[in-house]
Amino acid sequence: MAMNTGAELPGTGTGPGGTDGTADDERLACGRLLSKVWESRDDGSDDPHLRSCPHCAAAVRQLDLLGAAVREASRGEREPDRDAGALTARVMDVVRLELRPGRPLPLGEREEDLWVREAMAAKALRAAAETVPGVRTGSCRIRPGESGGVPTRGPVQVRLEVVVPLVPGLRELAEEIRRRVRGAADEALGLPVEYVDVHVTDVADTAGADETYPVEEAEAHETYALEEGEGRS
Amino acid sequence: MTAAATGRDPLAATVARVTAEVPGVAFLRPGLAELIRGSARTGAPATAGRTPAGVRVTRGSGAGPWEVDVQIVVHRDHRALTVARAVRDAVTAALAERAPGAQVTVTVTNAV
Repeated sequence: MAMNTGAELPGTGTGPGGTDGTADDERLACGRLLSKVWESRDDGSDDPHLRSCPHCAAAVRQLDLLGAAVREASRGEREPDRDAGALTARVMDVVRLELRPGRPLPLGEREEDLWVREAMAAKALRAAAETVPGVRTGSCRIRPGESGGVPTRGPVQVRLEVVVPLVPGLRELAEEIRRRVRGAADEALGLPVEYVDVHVTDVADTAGADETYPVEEAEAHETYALEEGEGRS
Repeated sequence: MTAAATGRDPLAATVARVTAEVPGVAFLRPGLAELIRGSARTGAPATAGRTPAGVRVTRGSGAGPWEVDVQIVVHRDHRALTVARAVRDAVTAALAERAPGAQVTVTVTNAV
Protein backbone atom coordinates (compact mmCIF):
# COMPACT_ATOMS: atom_id res chain seq x y z
CA MET A 1 0.00 0.00 0.00
CA ALA A 2 1.52 3.26 -1.06
CA MET A 3 0.84 5.87 1.52
CA ASN A 4 2.63 8.20 3.82
CA THR A 5 2.40 7.67 7.49
CA GLY A 6 1.18 10.40 9.75
CA ALA A 7 4.71 10.82 11.03
CA GLU A 8 5.99 12.10 7.75
CA LEU A 9 5.97 15.74 6.97
CA PRO A 10 3.86 16.56 3.95
CA GLY A 11 5.04 18.65 1.10
CA THR A 12 8.71 18.77 1.84
CA GLY A 13 11.12 19.89 -0.80
CA THR A 14 8.41 21.32 -2.97
CA GLY A 15 8.96 25.03 -2.95
CA PRO A 16 11.49 27.77 -2.91
CA GLY A 17 11.33 27.98 0.87
CA GLY A 18 11.39 24.24 1.34
CA THR A 19 14.23 21.85 1.83
CA ASP A 20 14.52 18.16 1.28
CA GLY A 21 13.28 16.10 4.17
CA THR A 22 16.55 14.55 5.19
CA ALA A 23 17.69 13.80 8.69
CA ASP A 24 20.74 15.97 8.02
CA ASP A 25 18.46 18.93 8.61
CA GLU A 26 18.78 18.10 12.28
CA ARG A 27 22.51 17.44 12.34
CA LEU A 28 24.56 19.77 14.47
CA ALA A 29 28.06 20.87 13.51
CA CYS A 30 29.47 18.20 15.82
CA GLY A 31 27.62 15.49 13.90
CA ARG A 32 24.96 14.73 16.50
CA LEU A 33 21.28 14.79 15.55
CA LEU A 34 19.25 17.43 17.32
CA SER A 35 16.56 14.87 18.19
CA LYS A 36 19.15 12.52 19.73
CA VAL A 37 20.64 15.31 21.81
CA TRP A 38 17.20 16.14 23.12
CA GLU A 39 16.47 12.49 23.89
CA SER A 40 19.75 12.08 25.73
CA ARG A 41 19.00 15.13 27.79
CA ASP A 42 15.55 13.76 28.64
CA ASP A 43 16.95 10.35 29.53
CA GLY A 44 19.55 11.91 31.77
CA SER A 45 22.21 9.82 30.06
CA ASP A 46 25.74 10.59 31.16
CA ASP A 47 27.36 11.21 27.79
CA PRO A 48 30.72 13.03 28.13
CA HIS A 49 30.29 14.52 24.67
CA LEU A 50 27.12 16.34 25.70
CA ARG A 51 28.91 17.92 28.65
CA SER A 52 31.83 19.20 26.62
CA CYS A 53 30.35 20.00 23.19
CA PRO A 54 29.42 23.67 22.71
CA HIS A 55 27.07 22.81 19.85
CA CYS A 56 25.12 20.28 21.91
CA ALA A 57 25.08 22.62 24.90
CA ALA A 58 23.65 25.41 22.75
CA ALA A 59 21.08 23.03 21.28
CA VAL A 60 19.98 21.86 24.71
CA ARG A 61 19.66 25.47 25.88
CA GLN A 62 17.52 26.33 22.88
CA LEU A 63 15.39 23.23 23.31
CA ASP A 64 14.91 23.98 27.00
CA LEU A 65 13.67 27.44 26.06
CA LEU A 66 11.43 25.94 23.40
CA GLY A 67 10.14 23.33 25.84
CA ALA A 68 9.27 26.08 28.29
CA ALA A 69 7.54 28.04 25.54
CA VAL A 70 5.50 25.03 24.41
CA ARG A 71 4.59 24.23 28.00
CA GLU A 72 3.48 27.81 28.53
CA ALA A 73 1.54 27.79 25.25
CA SER A 74 -0.24 24.60 26.33
CA ARG A 75 -1.63 26.12 29.50
CA GLY A 76 -5.37 26.37 29.70
CA GLU A 77 -5.98 23.55 27.26
CA ARG A 78 -8.52 20.94 28.12
CA GLU A 79 -5.88 18.24 28.10
CA PRO A 80 -2.66 19.69 29.47
CA ASP A 81 0.55 17.90 28.64
CA ARG A 82 1.36 16.26 31.91
CA ASP A 83 3.22 13.54 30.09
CA ALA A 84 6.84 14.52 29.45
CA GLY A 85 6.89 12.27 26.39
CA ALA A 86 3.95 14.11 24.86
CA LEU A 87 5.65 17.43 25.54
CA THR A 88 8.85 16.22 23.92
CA ALA A 89 6.88 15.06 20.90
CA ARG A 90 5.32 18.48 20.55
CA VAL A 91 8.66 20.22 20.93
CA MET A 92 10.14 18.01 18.22
CA ASP A 93 7.11 18.76 16.07
CA VAL A 94 7.92 22.46 16.37
CA VAL A 95 11.56 21.72 15.57
CA ARG A 96 10.73 19.67 12.47
CA LEU A 97 8.31 22.21 11.10
CA GLU A 98 10.88 24.89 11.58
CA LEU A 99 13.55 22.91 9.79
CA ARG A 100 11.25 21.93 6.93
CA PRO A 101 8.63 24.68 6.79
CA GLY A 102 7.73 24.45 3.11
CA ARG A 103 6.89 27.44 0.99
CA PRO A 104 4.98 30.48 2.22
CA LEU A 105 1.30 30.56 1.25
CA PRO A 106 -0.86 33.69 1.30
CA LEU A 107 -3.18 34.35 4.23
CA GLY A 108 -6.11 36.73 3.87
CA GLU A 109 -6.63 39.18 1.05
CA ARG A 110 -4.42 39.62 -2.01
CA GLU A 111 -3.12 43.02 -0.94
CA GLU A 112 -2.07 41.85 2.51
CA ASP A 113 1.45 40.73 3.38
CA LEU A 114 0.53 37.83 5.65
CA TRP A 115 1.65 34.24 5.13
CA VAL A 116 1.45 30.74 6.49
CA ARG A 117 4.06 28.08 5.89
CA GLU A 118 2.98 25.11 3.82
CA ALA A 119 3.97 22.47 6.40
CA MET A 120 1.81 24.06 9.09
CA ALA A 121 -1.12 24.52 6.71
CA ALA A 122 -0.84 20.94 5.48
CA LYS A 123 -0.80 19.69 9.05
CA ALA A 124 -4.03 21.53 9.80
CA LEU A 125 -5.75 20.32 6.61
CA ARG A 126 -4.70 16.72 7.14
CA ALA A 127 -5.94 16.83 10.72
CA ALA A 128 -9.29 18.13 9.45
CA ALA A 129 -9.56 15.29 6.92
CA GLU A 130 -8.80 12.78 9.64
CA THR A 131 -11.77 13.93 11.68
CA VAL A 132 -13.80 11.84 9.22
CA PRO A 133 -14.03 8.42 10.90
CA GLY A 134 -11.56 5.88 9.53
CA VAL A 135 -9.81 8.31 7.17
CA ARG A 136 -6.00 8.49 7.17
CA THR A 137 -4.13 11.04 5.13
CA GLY A 138 -1.00 10.71 3.04
CA SER A 139 0.68 13.59 1.31
CA CYS A 140 -0.93 16.99 1.23
CA ARG A 141 0.44 19.38 -1.36
CA ILE A 142 -0.64 22.98 -1.32
CA ARG A 143 0.32 25.06 -4.33
CA PRO A 144 0.02 28.81 -4.68
CA GLY A 145 -2.44 30.05 -7.26
CA GLU A 146 -1.03 31.04 -10.61
CA SER A 147 -1.59 33.81 -13.05
CA GLY A 148 0.05 33.33 -16.43
CA GLY A 149 2.30 30.66 -14.98
CA VAL A 150 3.54 32.93 -12.22
CA PRO A 151 2.65 32.18 -8.57
CA THR A 152 0.30 34.79 -7.18
CA ARG A 153 -1.17 35.75 -3.83
CA GLY A 154 -4.45 34.21 -4.86
CA PRO A 155 -6.33 31.17 -3.55
CA VAL A 156 -4.26 28.01 -3.23
CA GLN A 157 -4.72 24.59 -4.79
CA VAL A 158 -4.84 21.58 -2.47
CA ARG A 159 -4.11 17.97 -3.43
CA LEU A 160 -4.73 15.53 -0.61
CA GLU A 161 -4.13 11.79 -0.64
CA VAL A 162 -6.29 9.70 1.64
CA VAL A 163 -6.80 6.10 2.67
CA VAL A 164 -10.47 5.56 3.36
CA PRO A 165 -12.38 2.89 5.25
CA LEU A 166 -14.21 0.19 3.35
CA VAL A 167 -17.65 1.74 3.40
CA PRO A 168 -20.22 2.25 0.67
CA GLY A 169 -20.46 5.68 -0.88
CA LEU A 170 -16.94 6.66 -1.78
CA ARG A 171 -18.00 9.84 -3.53
CA GLU A 172 -19.95 11.09 -0.51
CA LEU A 173 -17.02 10.23 1.74
CA ALA A 174 -14.63 12.20 -0.46
CA GLU A 175 -17.07 15.11 -0.51
CA GLU A 176 -17.18 15.09 3.29
CA ILE A 177 -13.39 15.08 3.45
CA ARG A 178 -13.26 18.02 1.07
CA ARG A 179 -15.89 19.91 3.04
CA ARG A 180 -13.92 19.54 6.27
CA VAL A 181 -10.64 20.49 4.60
CA ARG A 182 -12.21 23.63 3.17
CA GLY A 183 -13.72 24.40 6.55
CA ALA A 184 -10.36 24.12 8.31
CA ALA A 185 -8.63 26.22 5.67
CA ASP A 186 -11.11 29.00 6.32
CA GLU A 187 -11.81 28.71 10.04
CA ALA A 188 -8.47 27.55 11.45
CA LEU A 189 -6.13 29.29 9.02
CA GLY A 190 -7.82 31.97 6.93
CA LEU A 191 -6.24 30.47 3.81
CA PRO A 192 -8.26 31.11 0.63
CA VAL A 193 -8.65 27.88 -1.35
CA GLU A 194 -9.33 27.59 -5.07
CA TYR A 195 -10.00 23.87 -5.02
CA VAL A 196 -9.36 20.69 -3.06
CA ASP A 197 -8.57 17.50 -4.94
CA VAL A 198 -9.11 14.39 -2.87
CA HIS A 199 -7.24 11.34 -4.14
CA VAL A 200 -8.20 8.02 -2.62
CA THR A 201 -5.03 5.96 -2.78
CA ASP A 202 -6.27 2.93 -0.90
CA VAL A 203 -9.19 1.44 0.95
CA ALA A 204 -8.56 -0.03 4.35
CA ASP A 205 -10.76 -2.80 5.65
CA THR A 206 -11.50 -1.39 9.06
CA ALA A 207 -13.98 -3.26 11.15
CA GLY A 208 -15.98 -0.89 13.25
CA ALA A 209 -15.85 2.08 10.90
CA ASP A 210 -19.10 3.95 10.91
CA GLU A 211 -21.13 3.10 7.87
CA THR A 212 -22.71 6.46 7.52
CA TYR A 213 -22.36 6.94 3.79
CA PRO A 214 -25.04 5.92 1.33
CA VAL A 215 -24.64 2.87 -0.84
CA GLU A 216 -23.12 3.66 -4.18
CA GLU A 217 -19.82 2.72 -5.68
CA ALA A 218 -17.14 0.61 -4.11
CA GLU A 219 -14.10 1.42 -6.16
CA ALA A 220 -11.00 0.26 -4.47
CA HIS A 221 -7.34 -0.07 -5.08
CA GLU A 222 -6.85 2.15 -8.08
CA THR A 223 -6.38 5.79 -7.24
CA TYR A 224 -9.76 7.37 -7.23
CA ALA A 225 -9.55 11.07 -7.78
CA LEU A 226 -12.37 13.38 -6.96
CA GLU A 227 -11.28 16.62 -8.48
CA GLU A 228 -12.91 19.89 -7.84
CA GLY A 229 -11.10 22.15 -10.25
CA GLU A 230 -12.36 22.67 -13.74
CA GLY A 231 -10.64 23.57 -16.98
CA ARG A 232 -7.12 23.22 -15.74
CA SER A 233 -4.29 21.07 -16.97
CA MET B 1 15.98 60.87 17.50
CA THR B 2 15.41 60.66 13.79
CA ALA B 3 14.20 57.56 12.05
CA ALA B 4 17.53 57.28 10.27
CA ALA B 5 19.37 57.16 13.55
CA THR B 6 17.13 54.46 14.98
CA GLY B 7 19.08 51.26 15.37
CA ARG B 8 18.09 47.94 13.96
CA ASP B 9 18.41 46.02 17.21
CA PRO B 10 16.21 48.30 19.33
CA LEU B 11 13.55 48.14 16.62
CA ALA B 12 13.80 44.34 16.53
CA ALA B 13 13.52 44.20 20.30
CA THR B 14 10.40 46.36 20.19
CA VAL B 15 8.89 44.18 17.49
CA ALA B 16 9.61 41.04 19.53
CA ARG B 17 8.10 42.50 22.69
CA VAL B 18 4.97 43.81 21.00
CA THR B 19 4.43 40.58 19.05
CA ALA B 20 4.69 38.38 22.13
CA GLU B 21 1.86 40.34 23.76
CA VAL B 22 -0.63 39.78 20.93
CA PRO B 23 -3.40 37.31 21.90
CA GLY B 24 -2.99 34.02 20.07
CA VAL B 25 0.78 34.31 19.69
CA ALA B 26 2.44 31.35 21.43
CA PHE B 27 5.99 32.49 20.75
CA LEU B 28 8.29 33.80 18.06
CA ARG B 29 9.79 31.26 15.70
CA PRO B 30 12.48 29.82 17.95
CA GLY B 31 15.41 29.82 15.54
CA LEU B 32 16.64 26.27 15.86
CA ALA B 33 17.28 26.15 12.13
CA GLU B 34 19.78 28.98 12.51
CA LEU B 35 21.33 27.15 15.42
CA ILE B 36 22.01 24.17 13.23
CA ARG B 37 22.67 25.70 9.84
CA GLY B 38 24.47 28.74 11.21
CA SER B 39 26.80 26.74 13.39
CA ALA B 40 27.45 24.32 10.54
CA ARG B 41 28.67 27.22 8.43
CA THR B 42 30.66 29.15 10.97
CA GLY B 43 31.75 26.38 13.28
CA ALA B 44 30.53 28.35 16.26
CA PRO B 45 27.26 27.88 18.08
CA ALA B 46 24.84 30.75 18.13
CA THR B 47 25.45 33.16 20.92
CA ALA B 48 22.91 34.24 23.46
CA GLY B 49 21.43 37.71 23.43
CA ARG B 50 21.24 38.06 19.67
CA THR B 51 18.26 39.45 17.80
CA PRO B 52 15.28 37.10 18.19
CA ALA B 53 15.20 34.57 15.35
CA GLY B 54 11.56 35.28 14.55
CA VAL B 55 12.19 38.97 13.85
CA ARG B 56 14.18 40.40 10.96
CA VAL B 57 14.52 44.11 10.46
CA THR B 58 16.17 45.38 7.30
CA ARG B 59 16.41 48.52 5.28
CA GLY B 60 17.12 48.78 1.58
CA SER B 61 18.78 52.17 1.84
CA GLY B 62 19.56 54.66 4.58
CA ALA B 63 16.47 56.70 3.93
CA GLY B 64 14.04 54.03 2.77
CA PRO B 65 11.34 52.50 4.91
CA TRP B 66 12.24 49.69 7.30
CA GLU B 67 11.17 46.22 6.30
CA VAL B 68 10.05 44.14 9.24
CA ASP B 69 9.64 40.38 8.91
CA VAL B 70 7.94 38.64 11.84
CA GLN B 71 7.59 34.86 12.10
CA ILE B 72 5.33 33.46 14.76
CA VAL B 73 3.99 30.25 16.25
CA VAL B 74 0.32 30.58 17.18
CA HIS B 75 -1.96 28.85 19.65
CA ARG B 76 -3.90 26.03 18.04
CA ASP B 77 -7.23 27.43 19.09
CA HIS B 78 -6.67 30.74 17.32
CA ARG B 79 -7.23 31.49 13.66
CA ALA B 80 -3.86 32.06 12.00
CA LEU B 81 -5.10 34.96 9.86
CA THR B 82 -6.64 36.80 12.80
CA VAL B 83 -3.46 36.52 14.84
CA ALA B 84 -1.27 37.55 11.89
CA ARG B 85 -3.37 40.66 11.30
CA ALA B 86 -3.25 41.57 14.97
CA VAL B 87 0.54 41.22 14.97
CA ARG B 88 0.86 43.37 11.85
CA ASP B 89 -1.34 46.09 13.35
CA ALA B 90 0.42 46.01 16.73
CA VAL B 91 3.89 46.19 15.18
CA THR B 92 2.89 48.93 12.76
CA ALA B 93 1.48 50.99 15.63
CA ALA B 94 4.52 50.41 17.83
CA LEU B 95 6.91 51.57 15.10
CA ALA B 96 4.81 54.51 13.92
CA GLU B 97 7.08 57.10 15.49
CA ARG B 98 10.53 55.56 15.25
CA ALA B 99 10.09 53.86 11.86
CA PRO B 100 7.16 55.46 10.05
CA GLY B 101 5.97 53.65 6.98
CA ALA B 102 7.60 50.38 8.01
CA GLN B 103 6.53 47.47 5.81
CA VAL B 104 5.46 44.65 8.08
CA THR B 105 5.35 41.05 6.86
CA VAL B 106 3.94 38.36 9.15
CA THR B 107 4.41 34.62 8.60
CA VAL B 108 2.76 31.93 10.72
CA THR B 109 5.15 28.98 10.88
CA ASN B 110 3.39 26.60 13.24
CA ALA B 111 0.63 26.11 15.79
CA VAL B 112 1.01 24.51 19.23
